[in-house]
Amino acid sequence: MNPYLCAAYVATWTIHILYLGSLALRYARLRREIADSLPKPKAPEL
Amino acid sequence: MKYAFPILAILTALLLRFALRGALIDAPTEQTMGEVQRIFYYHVPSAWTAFLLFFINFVASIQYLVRPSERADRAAKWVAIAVSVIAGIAAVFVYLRPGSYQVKPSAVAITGFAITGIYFAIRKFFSQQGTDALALVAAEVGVVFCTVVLVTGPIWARPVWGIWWAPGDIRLTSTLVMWLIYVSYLVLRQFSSSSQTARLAAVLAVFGALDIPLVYFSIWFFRTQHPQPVIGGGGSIDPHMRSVLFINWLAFLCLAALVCWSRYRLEILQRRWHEAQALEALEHRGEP
Repeated sequence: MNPYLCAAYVATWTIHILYLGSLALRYARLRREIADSLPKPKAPEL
Repeated sequence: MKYAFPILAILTALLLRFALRGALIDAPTEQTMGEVQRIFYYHVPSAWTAFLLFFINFVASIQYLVRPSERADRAAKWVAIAVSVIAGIAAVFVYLRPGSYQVKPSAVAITGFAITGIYFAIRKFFSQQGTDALALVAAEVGVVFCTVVLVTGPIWARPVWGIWWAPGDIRLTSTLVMWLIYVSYLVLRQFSSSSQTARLAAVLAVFGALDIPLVYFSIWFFRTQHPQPVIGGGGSIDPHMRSVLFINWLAFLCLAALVCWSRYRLEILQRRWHEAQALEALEHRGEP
């Protein structure tokens, strides 16, 4: 395969995958924030 | 509706796989440039998708600005209708004088009707806050696709023109300026905490959108290194290449829709979460 062609296709998918990764990270961060702010169930007193 | 997202995801994956095969294997090899011309199947659809997303950002920003005023909203609605009417009349003119213009009548009509269609679709399905979120999402995903264009362009230019970048070329420069405008839009959205941020960003988006026609038509009105359009303009393309190009565009459109959908959901979730936090802080303000 032509190296320029290969570079262009790899670059395209790298950019898209990096963006999708950043989206997934932002989702995970929001979920963690929400989970942290919810009141945690108290341990039953013995 | 529950299964719409996974169905779109599966459809997008299948289309991308099919389109990749078409671009790398099925499409005929161009005689002058050889194998490297196949970059075309990623470069051009990415550019069209970026244009579409920036246009959605423009329409959503206009709606965000005009909706609070009933008169402005009505005026914008009539402008959107007028665009369709003017495009229809222009298409008839182009049809009656074949060869006089560099554009096909169908391209003129479809563009005009699409502008009006997008305007009314956003007006019907998005609330005031929804249009603001949509504008942000369209700009963000548009920047991703525009980045692909700016990266694949020089990679294609190097073996064909002998240089990575043609300094002073209006198509290349205006595309870079467009990318910078939308990156600055995103920076403004990200780092400004003013209550007027959404309004300022909408105004920036409306002025920034003025660069879109300059980018698109620059190769018609100026002498540039960048080749003339082969679709919708005066150029021609092998029918097999054209079908592969459109399949790739469809695949990228589906990918853009999928990513925009995810990003929109995230944006709405974040806004609701921040609103809930602000309300909770207000409720607990008086407590010791």
